[in-house]
Amino acid sequence: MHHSHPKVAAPPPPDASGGAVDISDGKRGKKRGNYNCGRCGQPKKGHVCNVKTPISAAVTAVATAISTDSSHYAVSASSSASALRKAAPSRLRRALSFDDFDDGGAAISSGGIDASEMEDRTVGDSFADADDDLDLKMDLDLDLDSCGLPASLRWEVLRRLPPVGLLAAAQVSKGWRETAKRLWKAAEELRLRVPANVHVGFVASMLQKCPGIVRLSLRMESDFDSTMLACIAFSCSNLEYMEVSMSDGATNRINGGELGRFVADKRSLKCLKMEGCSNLGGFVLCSASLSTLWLSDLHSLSKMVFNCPQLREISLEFSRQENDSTDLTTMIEGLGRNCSRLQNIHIAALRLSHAAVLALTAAQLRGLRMLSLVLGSEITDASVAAIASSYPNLELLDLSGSGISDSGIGIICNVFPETLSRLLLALCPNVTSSGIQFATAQLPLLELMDCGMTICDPDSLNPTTDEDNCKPQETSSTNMHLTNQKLIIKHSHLKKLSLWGCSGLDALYLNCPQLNDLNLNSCRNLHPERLLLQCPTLENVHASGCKDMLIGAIQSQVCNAFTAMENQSPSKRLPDGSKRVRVPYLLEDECPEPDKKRRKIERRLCNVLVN
Amino acid sequence: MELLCIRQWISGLLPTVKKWLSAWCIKPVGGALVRQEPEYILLALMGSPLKKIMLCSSEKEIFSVEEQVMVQHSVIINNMIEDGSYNHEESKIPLDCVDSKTLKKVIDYCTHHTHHHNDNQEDLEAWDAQFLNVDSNGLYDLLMAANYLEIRNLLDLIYGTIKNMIKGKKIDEIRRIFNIKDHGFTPEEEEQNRKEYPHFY
Repeated sequence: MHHSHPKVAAPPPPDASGGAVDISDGKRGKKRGNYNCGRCGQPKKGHVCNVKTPISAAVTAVATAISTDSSHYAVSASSSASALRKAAPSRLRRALSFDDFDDGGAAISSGGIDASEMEDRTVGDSFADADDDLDLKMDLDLDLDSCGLPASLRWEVLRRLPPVGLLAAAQVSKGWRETAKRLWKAAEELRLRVPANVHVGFVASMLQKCPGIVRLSLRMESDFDSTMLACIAFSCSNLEYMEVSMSDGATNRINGGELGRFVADKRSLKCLKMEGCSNLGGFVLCSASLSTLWLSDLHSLSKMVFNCPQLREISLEFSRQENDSTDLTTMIEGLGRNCSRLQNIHIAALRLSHAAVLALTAAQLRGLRMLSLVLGSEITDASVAAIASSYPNLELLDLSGSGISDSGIGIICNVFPETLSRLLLALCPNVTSSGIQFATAQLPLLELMDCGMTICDPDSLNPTTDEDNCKPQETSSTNMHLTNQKLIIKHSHLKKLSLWGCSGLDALYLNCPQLNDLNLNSCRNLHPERLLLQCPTLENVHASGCKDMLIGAIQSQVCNAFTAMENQSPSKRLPDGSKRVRVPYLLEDECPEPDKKRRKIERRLCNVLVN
Repeated sequence: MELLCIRQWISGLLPTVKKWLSAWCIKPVGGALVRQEPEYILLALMGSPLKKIMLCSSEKEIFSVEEQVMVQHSVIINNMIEDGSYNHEESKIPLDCVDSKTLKKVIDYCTHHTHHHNDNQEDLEAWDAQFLNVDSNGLYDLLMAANYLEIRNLLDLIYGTIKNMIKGKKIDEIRRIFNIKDHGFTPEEEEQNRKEYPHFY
């Protein structure tokens, strides 16, 4: 877990998520017998085309996917990373994903391969490759007996296989091996899980199979060191997106100098995400192309220079150790100086202070839209005032774990009502229910509101606990303004509301017609009789750690609301006492997508999730 | 009037007539509401059958199918009809690479999917699974036919089925399923393959 404050219930999948997109239809119109390469005009036979296909469409789609996703990166990084993985931008991509593999050189244990685990992420072939290869194949290779399938169809079938299946298919016959090789060459995205005790040669051999890799995700269960980084640098010349996630027990041994060299050498690198960066010590990153940078588990950095003028999004998470000697203020000053195009900033550090905020506000980042400064208990209302005066157009503001109070909320509501759509104030001990209510009343565009652990007893506050606090805690002290609180929220746009851990909440009235997700985990004192949910589009209610009566009350409210609505048909009573019932909409005007319309009429069931 | 013009005239009328029909054709019948496809009602009123096309298999057997059904699924047939090269009165579309048995199945698939597109996903998937419950020769023929006629969703379905037949199986079994008698590797190569990936065999 990266973040100290727990997840807001389920981030929504990004709009750009595409899943499996079919092979581009361009090849369909191609006539047979075109023996020249579409790109450079040379005869195709035995020809390897070096002219680059423009994949700018893919890249911009990725950029939009990142920006829609980054609005939820305040939520746990792993969930947003996986959401980003699901965003398949365009037809030009092709993804292979490895989840399980053992050492290629030594003997492979049979338990090491688990083909059933892997999801099929093939998204479509790179356009030119498919063109060249398929025409070539259709002309030359129609021999069915030895290969079982004609070549073009073989391509389609093998393309859908997970990587282990592809490796197996390469052993079936020569023809299949050819097809598998072509698929490897066409691969642009690779997701690998590197098990423990594996030689770097394994990764090297994988990367050599697919030289056209543009996106690389590694889930390291063995240590990640400079040899592996060098291997990646050597094999993947077109790398644009790199993500390294570390599982428990694996160490990231990269130091700052190595990282700096890697970033400087990779001219096309646009996005770099790395976990476990505790050995960096200090770095100088110079890159003209880098636009997204996520580093987590940072600790005691001596020098941080971000010489990346195209940087749009930065996420720096510092480990929560007390003896962190990083000078955040200088770092932020440097950031502001060199990366003037920043749009999304996320910094999670215990030592965030008012001085750091002032450095940020002095930086004049004109494009700043999402600001997240979490865990800094020294951030006060004065900091909020500074932020509000310098950046009045924020769309996301996350000050979880800070010391702001209701007057800070007042400042926020004064300045940001026209733009702010996401406000996260979890673990802010000085925020009360009136502040929350004020915020929901004054911010008309609000879609996400996270007030976890705000209205609760200060004794039960434990800033180092992660996830949901289901541990039974005794509420010993009785601060009257923190118990028996009531919340009345009526908001037309609110989609997600999180009140997890608000044990001081006694009554809740929600009238939000667009609310999809409600998190009431550990709302221990919420009285079942004082709960009223009028949210017809509610899909998920999280209620773990709540009393059974409350869960029952939630369920009955949520399900009854739907049945009540089903029986309603618009009717009109005429003056003579008769009643005309309008026949509901039955005929569709067009045939194409009638099933979608039909499903809209059906009510979505709401899940009450109790773990 | 030429047939083509009549067709356009009818389809032009459709929206207005639909609204007219909806007022009195849909009546509660014993508590349940009966839903009719407007095109069927309209054409039933007009007295002419639904436009049909003729498909001719390799065995010279002729199948009559609603044009709507095939046009929705098969890109090839759609193109042919839109080009205007198909004359409804006289021509039939020859499909020399598709035999009668397979053609019948393909038509069955297209018809079911057109008429049942409103069903929920599980029912459709169950039907599809049942539909593909054929031996590998039959599956192969279906694949060739779908490829020729360019029926995208049937192709995807068949590819998915074949992929599942390969996934997780040992190499020898895959060779048996696909009837690959000669794998093309020299004995030394085969030996090396077995050494490199022993668990695949």
